[in-house]
Amino acid sequence: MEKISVEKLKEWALNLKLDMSDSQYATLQDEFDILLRQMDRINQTIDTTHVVPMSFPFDVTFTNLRDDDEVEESHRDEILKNAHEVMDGQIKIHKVVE
Amino acid sequence: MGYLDQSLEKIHQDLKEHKVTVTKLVEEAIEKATKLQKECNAFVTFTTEDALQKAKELDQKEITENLFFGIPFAIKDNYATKNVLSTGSSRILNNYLPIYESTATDLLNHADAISIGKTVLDELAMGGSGLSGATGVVKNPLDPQRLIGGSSAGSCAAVTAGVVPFALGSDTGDSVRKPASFGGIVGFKPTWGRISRFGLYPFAPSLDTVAFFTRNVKDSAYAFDILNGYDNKDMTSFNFPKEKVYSKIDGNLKSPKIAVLKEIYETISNPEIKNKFDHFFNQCKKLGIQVDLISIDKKLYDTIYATYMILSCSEATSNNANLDGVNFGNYQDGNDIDKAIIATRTNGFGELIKRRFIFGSYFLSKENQDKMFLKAKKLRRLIVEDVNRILNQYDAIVLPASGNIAPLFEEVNPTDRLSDEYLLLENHMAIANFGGLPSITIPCIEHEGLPIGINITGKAFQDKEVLNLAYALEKMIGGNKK
Repeated sequence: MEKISVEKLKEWALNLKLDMSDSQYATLQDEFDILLRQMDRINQTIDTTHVVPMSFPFDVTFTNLRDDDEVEESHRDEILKNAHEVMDGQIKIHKVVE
Repeated sequence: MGYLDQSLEKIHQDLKEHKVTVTKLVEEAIEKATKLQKECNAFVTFTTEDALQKAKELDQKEITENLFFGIPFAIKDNYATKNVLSTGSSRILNNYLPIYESTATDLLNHADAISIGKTVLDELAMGGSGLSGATGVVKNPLDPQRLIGGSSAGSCAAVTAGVVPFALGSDTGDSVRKPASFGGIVGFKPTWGRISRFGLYPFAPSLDTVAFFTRNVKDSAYAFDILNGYDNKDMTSFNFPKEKVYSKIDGNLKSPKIAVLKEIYETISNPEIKNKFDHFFNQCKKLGIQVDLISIDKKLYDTIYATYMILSCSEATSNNANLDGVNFGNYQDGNDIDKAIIATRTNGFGELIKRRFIFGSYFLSKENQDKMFLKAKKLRRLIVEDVNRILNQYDAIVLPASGNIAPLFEEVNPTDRLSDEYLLLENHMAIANFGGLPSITIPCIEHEGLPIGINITGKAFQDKEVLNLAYALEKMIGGNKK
């Protein structure tokens, strides 16, 4: 069975833009062991070669499109109340272009 | 003593006969909620002033036939409520004031129900214990040494304690139906797509369902009537006419047949509990219900937990990628935008959901997608096809909602997940989420003075039939006395 290294876990965490303590990574490593052991068992016992993956409970196509009505809504002030810092009616963040 | 631990019908009757006012009901709810908060930590936010104001207004109006008129209720804090703190029980959203109202809460507001507050959940609905909410652990009102279960922990505690007769929850794996078992109340998850999820924070949208707690089955039927129907704000909402089932629930059954899944049922390890459920099924037979203990492919059903983990963690990772604190949420600064977002998410999320996100990232990674994510989707189909095959021959699958009473906090052992009892008996209710099926838990037996529920799962879109069977069983068990 594949053993997941803490370094790999840290890499995935960073991809998700978050970090954890060393003891938390150790707990996660244990959980991975349990789940991957289960998956190993499943792979050995259940053949899914010709099974079509199921993404939603029912095989239906949703076509609930709204009418193409022209509406004008502006909730800018309300929306900006939730932002941490606002300047000139816009959300202010660190410079992202060097 | 009070009104709020009674059925909607009884409270409504007392309102109509002017034995009580809406204001008195809200005052009772607030008083009980305050007490519950001290003992069990069920609420994140109280909306006392708004509730009392609305009660005052309703007391000036004529009482309609609508059973929700003036009824205090509670809302799981993963529903967006306009201008009311909606935290998802996560530190990352602890200052978030939505500018819109979820469809479910909007429908309840329009039905003149009165929200008294938002309840604690396992952070962002990921978890089944009530232990991981940002504002602390939720305790079981029946025994505060025990957990109430989750993720809809606070809403379940509020109905269990008689604070409100109805509370909104949400159900992705069993997040309403499992706690209902530990609280000795009713928890109903309707068919996926029957109730709009607009404004319900997405956890795993292919599984998430608006669900709720009541004190009896008929109240759940009434709540379903209020909440079901098409909503063009939710693209997975079914374009069906609104269904009214409450008046059709009479408990009369025509040649009912139920299936008990042998390999799950027989994993109950406590003989006393097993005997009590055996007695329940014998009672069913005396009522004229055909009860068949049927065999299933245990190897397939053993995959429920792993399948659920892979699907739910993968969907959750993707759905919560927008929580970065920039547009909304609890922003933490850093030297640049990347460091700021890492600081925000590291500080904002609790340990459990960080681990789940990393699981999701692993399952979705290019090298693992086929062998994990796609595999889980295929297993989901095999399980659903098998469950639907059984449901084509039976009216419902009926199984204990849990193998035991609510655990003591000291007994919680998250690593004990490979035992047969945990894998099957404690996870089987996720089949209703895999298949989008209507599923309800009602109180059934007592052990050491605490409840364990029975779960009833039926065919997709047969919400009425599931409620009717549940009502018949509730009458047989002797519930719904109030």
